[in-house]
Amino acid sequence: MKPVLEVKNIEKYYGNKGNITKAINRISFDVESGEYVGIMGASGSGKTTLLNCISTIDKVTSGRILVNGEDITKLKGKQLSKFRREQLGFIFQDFNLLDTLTIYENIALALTIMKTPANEVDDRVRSIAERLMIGDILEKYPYQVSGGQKQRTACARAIVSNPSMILADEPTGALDSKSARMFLDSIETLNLELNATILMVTHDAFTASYCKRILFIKDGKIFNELIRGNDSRKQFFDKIIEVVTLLGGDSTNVF
Amino acid sequence: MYFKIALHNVKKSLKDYTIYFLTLTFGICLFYLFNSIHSQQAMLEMNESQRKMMELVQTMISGISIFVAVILGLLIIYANQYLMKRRHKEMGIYLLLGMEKRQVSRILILETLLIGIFALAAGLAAGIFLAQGFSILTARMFAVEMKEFQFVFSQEAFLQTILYFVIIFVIVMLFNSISISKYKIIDLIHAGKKNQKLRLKSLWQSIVIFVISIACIGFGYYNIIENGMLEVDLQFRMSIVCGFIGTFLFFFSLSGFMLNLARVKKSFYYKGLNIFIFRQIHSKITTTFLSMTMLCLMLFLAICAFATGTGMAKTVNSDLEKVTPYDYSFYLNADEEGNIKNQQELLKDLEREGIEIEAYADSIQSITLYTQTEGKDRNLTMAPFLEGREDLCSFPGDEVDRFLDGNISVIKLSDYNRFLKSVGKKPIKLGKNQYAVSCNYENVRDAYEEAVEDRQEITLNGKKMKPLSYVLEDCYTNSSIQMDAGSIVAADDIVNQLQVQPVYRYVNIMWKASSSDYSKTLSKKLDRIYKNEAEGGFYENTPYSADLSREDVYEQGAGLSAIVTYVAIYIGMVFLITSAAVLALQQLSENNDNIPKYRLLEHIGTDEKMIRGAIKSQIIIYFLIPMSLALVHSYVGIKVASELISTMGHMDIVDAVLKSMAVLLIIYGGYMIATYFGSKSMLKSKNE
Repeated sequence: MKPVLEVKNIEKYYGNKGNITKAINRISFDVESGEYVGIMGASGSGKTTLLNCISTIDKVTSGRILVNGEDITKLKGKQLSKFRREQLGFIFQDFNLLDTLTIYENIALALTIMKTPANEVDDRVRSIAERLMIGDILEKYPYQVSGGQKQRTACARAIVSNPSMILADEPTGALDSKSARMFLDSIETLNLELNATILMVTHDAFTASYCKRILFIKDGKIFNELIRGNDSRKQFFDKIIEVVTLLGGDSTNVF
Repeated sequence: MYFKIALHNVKKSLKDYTIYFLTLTFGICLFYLFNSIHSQQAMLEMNESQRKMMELVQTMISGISIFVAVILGLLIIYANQYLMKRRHKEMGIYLLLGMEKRQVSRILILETLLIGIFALAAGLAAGIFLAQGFSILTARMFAVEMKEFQFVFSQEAFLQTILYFVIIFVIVMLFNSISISKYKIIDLIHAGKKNQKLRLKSLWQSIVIFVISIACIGFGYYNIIENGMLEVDLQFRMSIVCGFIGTFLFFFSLSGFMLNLARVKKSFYYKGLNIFIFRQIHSKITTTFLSMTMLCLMLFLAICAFATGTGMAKTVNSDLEKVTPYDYSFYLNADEEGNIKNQQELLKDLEREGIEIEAYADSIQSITLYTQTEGKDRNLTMAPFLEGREDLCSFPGDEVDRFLDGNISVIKLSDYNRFLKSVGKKPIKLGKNQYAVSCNYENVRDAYEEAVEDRQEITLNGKKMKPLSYVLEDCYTNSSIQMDAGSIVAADDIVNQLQVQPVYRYVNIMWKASSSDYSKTLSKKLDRIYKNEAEGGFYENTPYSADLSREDVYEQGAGLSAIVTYVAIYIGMVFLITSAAVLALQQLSENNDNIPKYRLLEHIGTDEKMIRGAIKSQIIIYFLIPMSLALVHSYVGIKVASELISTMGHMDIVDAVLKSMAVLLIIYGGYMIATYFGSKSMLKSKNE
């Protein structure tokens, strides 16, 4: 089976001739369908740049990124928008829900911009909301619900359009630990039950311990890779901490 | 250092809020322009009475200018609050960096000062420049020739403009300083992250309020139509209060109503960005319904002022020829005993004062109006013509009832035919039992025409008589407006036998070709002899009760139309640009706040075209909502006003209204388009 995402030898340079920063320096990896991959690294390691390149918000300097076999670095203008709304789902750190829309409408928006027939919208929104346990707050506004519920709404918006891959950028960054746990459970549900492919950027070891595989990035390069396999989450968490320590990243267990 | 920051900020806001600065400049320009009208007479050939008229214009404009200054002042304060709000974060950073509030407010004062100086200079420059062209309009208004071109500059208006706007800007500065002293850093820093608390009123709730608002507006309309703007009574006040409350409730409930309605139609609501558009508009209107109400009412006033004003000016000018069949007219009224001077007596009286008329006159002739004496057998009233045809009389309210009982005048056929002959028309012939009816008063003419069509019978000297097949419409003497509300023309012997007395006699004169401008000389002479002694404007010692030359009528007409036109354009323009600017400003700053939302939409893959479409629809809807209600209000307002005005003369309002509407909509549309492009470029520049 072909991988959903193939990142082939990409580079991203910032700056001009005299002063070049290599944000990404030759990174290659694949993500298979149904995988739950975490990308870890310290601030400035290039992990967000990598995510931006995959989500076509940013352009790579060289190399290729294939999604379902299609080279997305060659896409332009309208095709880019089309690619993003059809193939990708996004979850942001600060939720990024529209405050004037209800929870229901925030989710529905992902469908209506794809020109989904109106009669399909209701079923799809409600079924995904039930799965994420936000079925009872659909008519509320974002300001009326908790942070965790907002983030699950963001999840619902990301998955409702059946994307090939969900990209999450520090999704637990703005949540307290209880909400974070509930949210990560929901993501796991998406992954296990709906077989969603998830790529998540985080610098939090606990959040990362939910993933099946973790790529560690340092100075724009892949530094290490961890696969959970049959480890329990606790064991996996300990392994992550080890790598983070080695990496000198921003964890409390640095020393 | 502070100056540098201020200058930079001014440059930045100039780019983002070009519309606001242009409006401000334009407002100042208008202010100067209208206040400098007086000085334009340097360029114009004017006589004494026109000069007086000009002074009257200037006095009125000065009065209105205070009002206009208040309106523009409110615009500036409002706009300034808006601009400030947008910069809370920036001010928070200044304070965080350790600047004192006093220093921050100094930056703001500097900015206001810079903007003020900039707008004032630009506005005055534009005003002075445009004033040169404006005098062409003035010349046309007053129907006078222009002398050779001369650069006009009104120091008075110049200083007045500066004074008014300096006051406004000082108030704005005070406002800013006060509001900044109240801010807390934490609120300023987090200003961008406000959470709007919105709750959609339930469907039935918004429908009920919406229906109440429509009923309220309807009731207001009903009251004003009944009242006809004739007197400021309870009904009039009711209509204003109801109109205001109705408008308020309309905007209060409209967005909820619209949103609920859209939500019912799922296939529409869940299409593209419609959810987003409706929600945005809903949230905007629910937070700005009060200003929406004010804007709608201002637009309403602007449209009414513009349309009725220009309509009225046109009316006055187009009727002038009709109401001046002669070169000069003297009016004679019967005294208390019922005696009235005849033509010869008048001429002799004038001759005694050394005023020679016959030598210069080509023809002198009089026409006499008789009415029936009060008392028994009184039957010569307007009732036969108007009764049962009240609906054809465009009188507001019950005014027509008072008219019914009014005396109808009687004119001798020989008098009338003499008049017709002198203006080069064919005399009329009446059969044995026939009379003719003359009427040119706008509000009752239709009723008379209908009466003639119905072959309305009247009884004169016990004989039943039928009318001539058409209504006579000519003015048989000089007058300011067409004011014959109905006269019967009958054969001389019939009139002689009637129980009637002469009440008005008009002595009408045409000058010989060789002395065609004798009117001026005559007026001056009469002025010199009688008017010096006239007390309180009544010429009790004159041998006539009034005199009116063709020139008088033209000058008055031109002056009146000039006043009306100036006031209409002035108020209409200021209101229009102010409200359009507020709308544009609200939209621009709203769009600026919404850029993160558009960025998100783009991020999750919305087509750029769709986003542009969403911005466009929001702006169009937001501009259209207050305008459409204002148009409906204006329709009713103009209708009532035109009925009122038509009592003064025929008013061809449709044409004037359409033309002024076109001008208004072009300006308003211009603001709308500018707002769209401004918003679009904001989105673009913030993307890079």
